[in-house]
Parts: sequence; C-alpha cells; structure tokens
Amino acid sequence: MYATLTEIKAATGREDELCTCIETNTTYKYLAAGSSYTADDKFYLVTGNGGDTRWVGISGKYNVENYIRDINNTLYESNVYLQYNKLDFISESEPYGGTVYDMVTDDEYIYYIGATTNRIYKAYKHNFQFVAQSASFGGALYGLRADSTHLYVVGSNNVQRAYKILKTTLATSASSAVYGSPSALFGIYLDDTHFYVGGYGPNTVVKLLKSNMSTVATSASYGGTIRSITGDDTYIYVVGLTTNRVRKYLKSNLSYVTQSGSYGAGIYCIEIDGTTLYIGTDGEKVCKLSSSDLSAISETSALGDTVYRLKLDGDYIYITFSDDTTVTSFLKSDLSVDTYYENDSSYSGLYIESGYFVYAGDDTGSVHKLALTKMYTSYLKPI
Amino acid sequence: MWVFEGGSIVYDGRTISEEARAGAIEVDVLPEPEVREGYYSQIRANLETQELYYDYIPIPIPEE
Repeated sequence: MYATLTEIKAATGREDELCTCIETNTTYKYLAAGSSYTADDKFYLVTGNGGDTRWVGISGKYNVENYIRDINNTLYESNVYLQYNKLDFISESEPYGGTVYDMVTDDEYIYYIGATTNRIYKAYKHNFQFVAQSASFGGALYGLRADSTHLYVVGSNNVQRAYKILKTTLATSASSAVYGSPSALFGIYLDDTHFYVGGYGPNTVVKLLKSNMSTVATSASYGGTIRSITGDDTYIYVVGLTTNRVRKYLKSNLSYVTQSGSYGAGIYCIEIDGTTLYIGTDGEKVCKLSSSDLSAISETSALGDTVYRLKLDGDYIYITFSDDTTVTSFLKSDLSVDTYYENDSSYSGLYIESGYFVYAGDDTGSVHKLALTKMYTSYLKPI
Repeated sequence: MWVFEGGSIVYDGRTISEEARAGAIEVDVLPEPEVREGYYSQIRANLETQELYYDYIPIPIPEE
C-alpha cells in the first residue's frame, strides 16, 4: 500500500502485482513491460522502471476495466456484452376513451391526446395517477409537442388550428389562425422560437411564432395531405399522402428546396438523426435517406402493415403500425429487427424516453408504458 | 379540484401554484350537465360570479 502517487510511481513492481494507493483510493495492477496505455495519473501510471505505463487501475475510484476477485482471491477479468434488447410491459394509464394518437413527457408528467375524448390528459408518468384535463377541442387531436412551459397541439377538421396550452393548468394560452375549412392538422415540428404545422386541406406547411401563434410563412402546397414534419437547423422535411415523397423546405421562408423519389405510397412519419432521415410508409417499409439530397440509402423489406409512427433513440428505430399490434424496434445501422412487444390491439401514438421507456397509445384507449430492458451476457476470464 | 375559465380541470392541486389556483374555481364535485341530444357539454368557470356552468356545443360530424 502506498500513500501517494509519487510513491507508487517510483516503485518497481512485479508482473501482475497489486498495490493500493491511498491518495487515489484505487488498486492498481503492475503490467508486463510494453503497456500501451496512456498515463493520466488516475487510471494509468507511468513507473520509473523502463518508462512504460505499468500500473493500471483495476478497482476503486479509478477502475478501468471489469476485474473481479472470487472467494479464493483469484482475479478474473469480466467481459460483458449486450446480448439483446427486449420490451417489457410495465403499466398502463386509466382509459382515455378513444385511440391515443400522441403523447409527450417531461420530468414528472405525461401528456396524451387522441380521439373521442378530444382533450389533453395529464398524469404522473411514474404511476399514471391522473392530474388534469383540458377542455374539449371538439374533435380528435393528432399531434402534440412540448417545450418547458407549453404544449402545442393540432387536430382534426373540428379543431382546424394549432393551440398553445399551459402545461400547468392545461388552459389555452393562444391559438393560430384557421388552417383551412375543411382541414385537419397532423404534422407538427418545434424549434426554439417557431413551430411548423401541416395537414389536410391547404396541404401547406405553416410556420408560426411560438410566442403568439402568429403566422410567419406558408409553403406552397405539398400536393397531398401532410402527415409528418421534422427538421434540422436549416431545413424542414415533410412527408404525406398523394405526393408520396419527402420534400425539403428552407426553414426561414419555407421555400421549396428539393424532393426525394416517389415511394409509391403514402408516408406517415419522418424523423431525423444527424444527416439521416427515417420514414415509415404505407408501402409497409422503413426507409433511410440522406438529408442533404434526399437520396435513398436503404430500406426494410415489406413489414406487412402501414408504418404509422416512428421514433428514434440511440442506435434504434421504434415503430407502430396501423393494424399490427406490436411496437417493433430496428437497428438504425442495417434496419434489421431488434426486438418487439406484442399487444392485444394495435398501437398508434409512440414516445420514447431515451434508453429507458417506450410509451405507446393503445387503440382501445390507454397509454402503455414499456421498459426497454437490455439483456447482457458475461464471462469471467482468469488473469 | 380546480376548474378554469376555459374548462380545463386540475384534479391535483399540488401541481399548480397559488397564483394559478386564483384563476380557477375550487369545487369538490362537478355539477351534472344536462343531456341534450346532438350536443356535448363543456364545463366553464365564471370567475366574476364564482359559478360553474356548461356550454352545450353541437357534436361534430364524425371524421376520419
């Protein structure tokens, strides 16, 4: 045992010898000559013996690797690998009263919307205990987004406009101009100061100021019902029906930039990760595109049902279908199926809390909370 | 529970501030709405009179 780093670094050890340093509260192992680790005086210490990094932290405050001792004091190296992911059902909300189309969470609450009830519901997300409900919007609600203080909601032909709602009381703060008559809004995308909506009727994207919901710009018609919008710092990307393509617009003034090739069927959802776009189609596929020129990168085989909602998290894509009763995840890299959870009825709305929970809106009218469980395998190698 | 002017209802008062509560009417039980064929009821709060009432709104045409 050594009191300081200076003492331990001056010491000459024997190969695989262990020592503990009080100053760093770490146990180190003395490696064979030629270690390629880079000394940092925490995990790796250079000795005066030949100049190589020789002492490597194996347990305590600076534990660089997974080393385990058994009852006989034999040292093992533990190698842990992610074997597979799985989705486990955790709990569900009280019945909403209709299909739940969308939801968001913050630190404490979940907010969800849908059909028939036509209200925003607010509940504690850890146990789904009901907290508040908005007034009725008079028609189905399809899209919900949030910032730190407000919710932004759009809906059907009986709603026809976007609403800004206080998260605390679910009272309406402001509303946009009527989108069209008849009309319905499906796509909604927020940035720091604006939000962008689009749907059925005018089939345009409307850029609104978040502060007072005034209209800033309107795009040319997409050519069919807009179903989903996403964006990056400079552009927004729009998908929908009839046109069946991804269209790219400049965020500043909503001028048209370019479009993808046709996917031959409606596109219901789009999300972006860096420079890669992911879409879900009525052609029953998940497809990857480059956000720069909207060129196709890859796509799944037909999945047997319309891909209705799509969300991204880490290395994975999560989707729900129009009729299929699963939440299914795919690897972003090669679009292979990762895992799925099968329900009794189909899911609509989908929301991911990164790495932990998946919330899915059940078509019979409740929100299901699923845990993303990582299953690991490991083995111990004597050293 | 706290009923706000526009008809939103907060059931858990711990989730809102005193200031927010001042903009609502606190009740233990909501009044029963009338049943009017072809209409749905939406509760409202009149803060001046401290009374709750219902608006009766035509049920919208079914949508997609």
